[in-house]
Amino acid sequence: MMQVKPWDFMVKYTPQREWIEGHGILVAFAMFFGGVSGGLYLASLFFGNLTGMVIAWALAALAGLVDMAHLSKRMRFWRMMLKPGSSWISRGFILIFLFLGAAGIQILITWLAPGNAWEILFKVVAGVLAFGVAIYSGFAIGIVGAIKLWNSGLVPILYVVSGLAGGLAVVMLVSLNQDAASLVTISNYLLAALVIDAIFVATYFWSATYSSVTARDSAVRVMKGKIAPAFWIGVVVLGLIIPIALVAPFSLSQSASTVAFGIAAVGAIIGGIMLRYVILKGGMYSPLLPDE
Amino acid sequence: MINILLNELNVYDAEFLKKKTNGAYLIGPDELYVRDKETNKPLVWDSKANKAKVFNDPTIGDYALLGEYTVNGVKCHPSFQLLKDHVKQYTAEAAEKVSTVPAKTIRRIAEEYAEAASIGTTIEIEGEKLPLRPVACIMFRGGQGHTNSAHSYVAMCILNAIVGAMDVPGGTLGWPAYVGGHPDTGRFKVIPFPCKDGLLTAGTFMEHGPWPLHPAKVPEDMLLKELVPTASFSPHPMTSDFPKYWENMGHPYDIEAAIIFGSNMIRSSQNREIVEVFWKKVPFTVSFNILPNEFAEGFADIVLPDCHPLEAYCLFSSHGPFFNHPIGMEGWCFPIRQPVVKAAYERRNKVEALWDLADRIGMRDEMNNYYNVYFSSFGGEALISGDISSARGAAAIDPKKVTKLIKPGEKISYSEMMDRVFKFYFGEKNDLKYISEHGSIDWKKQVKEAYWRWYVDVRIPIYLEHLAELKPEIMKNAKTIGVDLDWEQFTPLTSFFTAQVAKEETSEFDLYSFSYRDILHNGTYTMEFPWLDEVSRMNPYTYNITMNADTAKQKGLKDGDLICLESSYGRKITGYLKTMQGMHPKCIAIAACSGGWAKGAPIAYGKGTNFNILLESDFKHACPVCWSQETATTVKVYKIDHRIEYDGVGGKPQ
Amino acid sequence: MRWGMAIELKRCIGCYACVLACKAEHFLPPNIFWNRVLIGEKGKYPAVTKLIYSVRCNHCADPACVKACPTGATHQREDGIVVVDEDKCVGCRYCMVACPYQARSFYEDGHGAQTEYYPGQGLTEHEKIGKTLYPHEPGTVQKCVFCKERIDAGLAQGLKPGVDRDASPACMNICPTKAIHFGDLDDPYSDINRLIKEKKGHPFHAEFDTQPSIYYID
Repeated sequence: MMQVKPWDFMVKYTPQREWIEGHGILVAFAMFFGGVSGGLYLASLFFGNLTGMVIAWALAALAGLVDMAHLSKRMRFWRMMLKPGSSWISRGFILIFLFLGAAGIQILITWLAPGNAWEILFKVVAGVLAFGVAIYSGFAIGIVGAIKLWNSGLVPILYVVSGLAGGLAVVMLVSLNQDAASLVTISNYLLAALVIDAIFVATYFWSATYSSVTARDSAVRVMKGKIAPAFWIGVVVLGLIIPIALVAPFSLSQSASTVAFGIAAVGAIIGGIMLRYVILKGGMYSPLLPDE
Repeated sequence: MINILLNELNVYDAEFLKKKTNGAYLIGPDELYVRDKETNKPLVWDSKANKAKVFNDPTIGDYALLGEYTVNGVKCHPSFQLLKDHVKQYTAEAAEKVSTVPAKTIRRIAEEYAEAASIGTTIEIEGEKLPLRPVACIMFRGGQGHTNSAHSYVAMCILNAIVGAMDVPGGTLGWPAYVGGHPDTGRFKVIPFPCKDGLLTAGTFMEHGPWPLHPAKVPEDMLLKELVPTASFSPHPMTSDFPKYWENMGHPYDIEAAIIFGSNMIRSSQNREIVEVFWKKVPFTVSFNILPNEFAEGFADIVLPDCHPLEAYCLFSSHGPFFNHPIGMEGWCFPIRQPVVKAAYERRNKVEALWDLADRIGMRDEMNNYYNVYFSSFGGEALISGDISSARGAAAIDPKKVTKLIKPGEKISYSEMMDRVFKFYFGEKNDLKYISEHGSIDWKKQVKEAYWRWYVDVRIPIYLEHLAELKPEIMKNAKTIGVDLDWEQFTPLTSFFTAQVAKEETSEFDLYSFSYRDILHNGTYTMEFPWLDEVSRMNPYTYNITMNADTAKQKGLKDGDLICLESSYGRKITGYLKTMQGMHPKCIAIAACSGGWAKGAPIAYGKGTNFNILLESDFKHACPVCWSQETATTVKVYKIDHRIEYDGVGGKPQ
Repeated sequence: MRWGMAIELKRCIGCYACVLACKAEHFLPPNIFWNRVLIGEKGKYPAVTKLIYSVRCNHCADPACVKACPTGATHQREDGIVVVDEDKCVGCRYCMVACPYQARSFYEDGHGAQTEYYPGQGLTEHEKIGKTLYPHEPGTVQKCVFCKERIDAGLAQGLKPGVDRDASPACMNICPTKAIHFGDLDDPYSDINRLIKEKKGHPFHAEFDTQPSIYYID
């Protein structure tokens, strides 16, 4: 836990705590589940993977439940949907509910009576909502002007890309019993998603060092401070380097290895959780008093 | 600054010096006043008549402040001339060496001070024309808490006196106050008056009045106060060298029992082991207290729970018109403290408890008389030039001057006493009921009360003749009990003396440590108040030891380190470091009187650092003239692994 | 009407009276602060300036917290005061995250939070009275309300906030150096507007773009 002396609160750089410490850790999980859910649903649509869709639906439900678990007044959860006009939390919560409805219907149709226009319609609607579920948490923190590390247009995109990578990783995991060709196809997309993810992660933190003093301070803390192990080991090594290293050779040689792909997928998923953790943990408020 | 004003800028308020100080008094070669042979009054030189006259002779044309004269067959000078010459040695450059304040800065401030004093200007307030002197120089414990306390303080007073900025608009106001009395009764009156040699005597002074001086004697009691009459308060007998003097005095007696009111001297004065030596020997100690503090836990055989200030009336906190009454032309206001909640548990108003005790030991009459004297002293006549710090002292006051608000032997409640006092001071209608509803008694202040100096025929000394006068007697008496003091300080001309703390600076013990009044706390009690504790924990200074950031760096220390301060006497305290820029590089400071160790005060336990543990207490560490304790000490500082001052001491942390 | 404050930094002595008056006025539980004193310093020895800022919710005209709140619990009254309806707050704490001044607190009763001012000794009389007079809903976010109760009651009696004690915020009343001023920012002739204009008051960190209603005077 990052300790700020009580007299340094808002006098020096002050870490964001409400959404990461204690119960706050649930926010990171909710964001992760939402992101992966959206990405997974879209990936599952692309690959026509019903299992993936079901898992995406479950993850969205989980995202909503974890969001609710984070509340101190859980029975009032419905109130969270009352301000979609201004609040991204409200929008996100509504998106999750709508997605659960639309995707639920779509899954039922695909399972029970596939191949009709309703299925296509609900796939399109649920797909759009899935995109929303993946991106909303990025907007929720991206618009927080108070925290310079978050206050970037890159965050929603990063969250979607990371969600897609996570989603593809789940698709990979549920497809491990399939033939090599299918696995290679999935691995090619996963590799692409991971590379794009890596580029956005790099761009995001690199641009943070240029955007403001506070964002730079945050970025430095992420890369050199107490959060650095989570960033370097969790996000970079486990989440990006190992999966890319494991997937890339097979992708080039058009062969498959369930062990390598399995490990890569798990790594990518862990990386996705750690990315949310690191971003939330790295959020700092600018000091209100001039620095020495 | 005095030197710069007098000898470089040639700025001084001659009128004030002539009529309101002893600056014109002629001083002979024996350092004493040249006195009139008939009346024994000090003489001044009338420069119009060109002859010496008694200082208050109404025919004086003009007072000479400068020059050399021959009177009574001796060469003599006005004391101002002596002062002016004497301070020439204190150049800004010399002061820079001692204080580290650049000479340029000292000169700049002196110049600004001289200019701002606007000597000669006047202001009209409510039809009264008064001198306007908008400068003031104030000193409290920081400067007083050293072995050069008396001379430092006098120098500060002289700085005000030479520009005439005393009890006039813009200048220092207050102590000793002038209160003309309530318009309905003329009572609650405090008026300074001239006493021996025309010098000021305060209208009220609770204990050991400073003027006229008490005679110097071989001391007979444990306070040793008769030894040096210029000291109002005494650190004895809780000093490390006291037992030696006591034996030299023949060990006149032992204390059999002691009653302590609310104080916490084991934590709030000097090193606790020194204090402990004394209290260990007292066989029976009673403490009136609002909480079981360090003293009560350590030494009290019985603790009598006193009411908290919010649980009881208090009559006495408003009796200091010199201290907490409205300043300047703001009207007089006599507030009372009244209870807002019922006393919890078995707490009792301590005065009522004392009356009960007085009954049991047959002291009710004396106690009632004491209160009668106390209130009468504000009742019209300036009685308290006597010593009323004790029932014994009160008994010596002329009974004809005392109004008997409480009859001998009469049993009344505290609130009944308050009621009578208010009626006595402020008239029948302003009784306790009225004051409780209105919170205070208010009345208009007159110009001559707010700015009284030119309305009362009193002078203050810029030349401390009495020190020269007393010195031989004090030296003789001190010798008989084996006390040795810095005799050089018994000089009438205010001088710089190196404080004991500065004499103890070495390359090893190179930092000056001191404690200072924190904005959140007063004494030790407030530390147990959780709201104050809460904000104290948010304050960067209250519970931390502060030090200049660069000095800390040089010593390999950083913010948050647990450090030990060790004095050259081997006393040690520990605490957490907070570095700052706004701190002299040679200093290390501790806020408030924190670092509690009492079990009964768990909020205060272990918070902050008890600075006083570092303080020695003996004649070597006291100002010889006023007995102020040296409150700073040189230390070395290093990192440490735990709070050693808690080893085997006090309660356990929560 | 838009209530606002002006704080004269040169007058502030950092005594925390505003913080404690607020504690007393609203019976705030342990570790909850609706206002704070920020202390720092600028420069290097020997040219150092001590910085002391009495801070609280800025009751911004364009408040980030109101936009963040998903339930409408945090809302702005017509007189500009930003308040939290504790019956509607779900405790998501998005408002706390969004406030660049970090002026909000989350009140927990239990869950390891300190509930008594004298731990283990039960509630004091004062704390017990507070539970009746000014109860706080556990699990909700709270913050400075500009002493809206005093303002509303004062206005109902025909008193003027910022002038009459009984209609003014507790922190303003207690301030021993009279550093805190209160009044209507929409009234061009109000004392507070004159003060802000004459002494060049400026909002605290205008760059956050929330248009604070508290002005600081250097």
